[in-house]
Amino acid sequence: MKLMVSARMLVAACGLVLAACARSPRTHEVAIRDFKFQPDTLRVHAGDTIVWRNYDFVPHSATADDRAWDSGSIAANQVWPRASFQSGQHPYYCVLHPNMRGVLIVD
Amino acid sequence: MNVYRKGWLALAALTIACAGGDEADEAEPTNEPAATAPAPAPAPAPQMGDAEVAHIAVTANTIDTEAGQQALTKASNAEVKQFAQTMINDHNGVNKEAAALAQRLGVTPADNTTSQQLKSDADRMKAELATKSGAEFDRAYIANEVVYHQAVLNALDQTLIPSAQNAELKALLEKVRPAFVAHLQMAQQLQTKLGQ
Repeated sequence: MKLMVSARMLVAACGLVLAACARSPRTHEVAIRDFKFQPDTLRVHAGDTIVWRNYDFVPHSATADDRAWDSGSIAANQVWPRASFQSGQHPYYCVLHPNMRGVLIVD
Repeated sequence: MNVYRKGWLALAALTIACAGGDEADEAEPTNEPAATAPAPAPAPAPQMGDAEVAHIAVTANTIDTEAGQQALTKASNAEVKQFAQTMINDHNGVNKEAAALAQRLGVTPADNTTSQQLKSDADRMKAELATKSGAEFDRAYIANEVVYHQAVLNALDQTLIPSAQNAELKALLEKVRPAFVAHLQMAQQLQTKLGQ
């Protein structure tokens, strides 16, 4: 009887540990600064939230090359958060300053 | 000389006048050990005050905003129009920040001969561009934007940033610099697309 209770407790404890180890969604920031995306390449997990924050004086955008997603104009000192990215590589750029480029890699 | 180069002689002259004159800077490098310990190089004397630097920076931004407004009404190419709109947005954004800083610092931008020359050159350029239309206007406007942004970058690097005494003004000018680099690249790429 004692052995059975201990085994159950062990199973329950493992469950708790696994639950604690399960990855919860995270939030990552991409700084838009000096006309660059920083970091220009970001690796995240599906479900994570990415926040683009514009530190420049001028508006920018974060726009997928294939236009699957588009922040629209992000004004100075404003942010654009987005979470629903599909797995894969997402090259993107600033529509207003097309030389500004970044890549989002979603695992 | 390219006609569009003439308009920004004031900036070029400003750069040359403020950067030149020190023959020691042009001495050939040598590996010979110095006979005596060299005296520390004196910091370059400021060529103009912060009020003048601020005025030149604001004038340069205003000029390109106005050029963009002219291009919005006269350009025929969609990408040129988009570029013009970006110039208006960006240079307005920079000037808004400059105005806020000037107010915070209690500095009133002071008009000066360089600003006046810039303005008169810009007026002349605007009149010249007004005589053009269609693809000819597009090419002329973009050609001017290439030369203009390069001239402003040179002035920022060689004169305006080194001359700024106030740390916040210097930081603002340094923060503005990437905008001019990006604009120059955009203008150069458009120039290639449009052909000469």
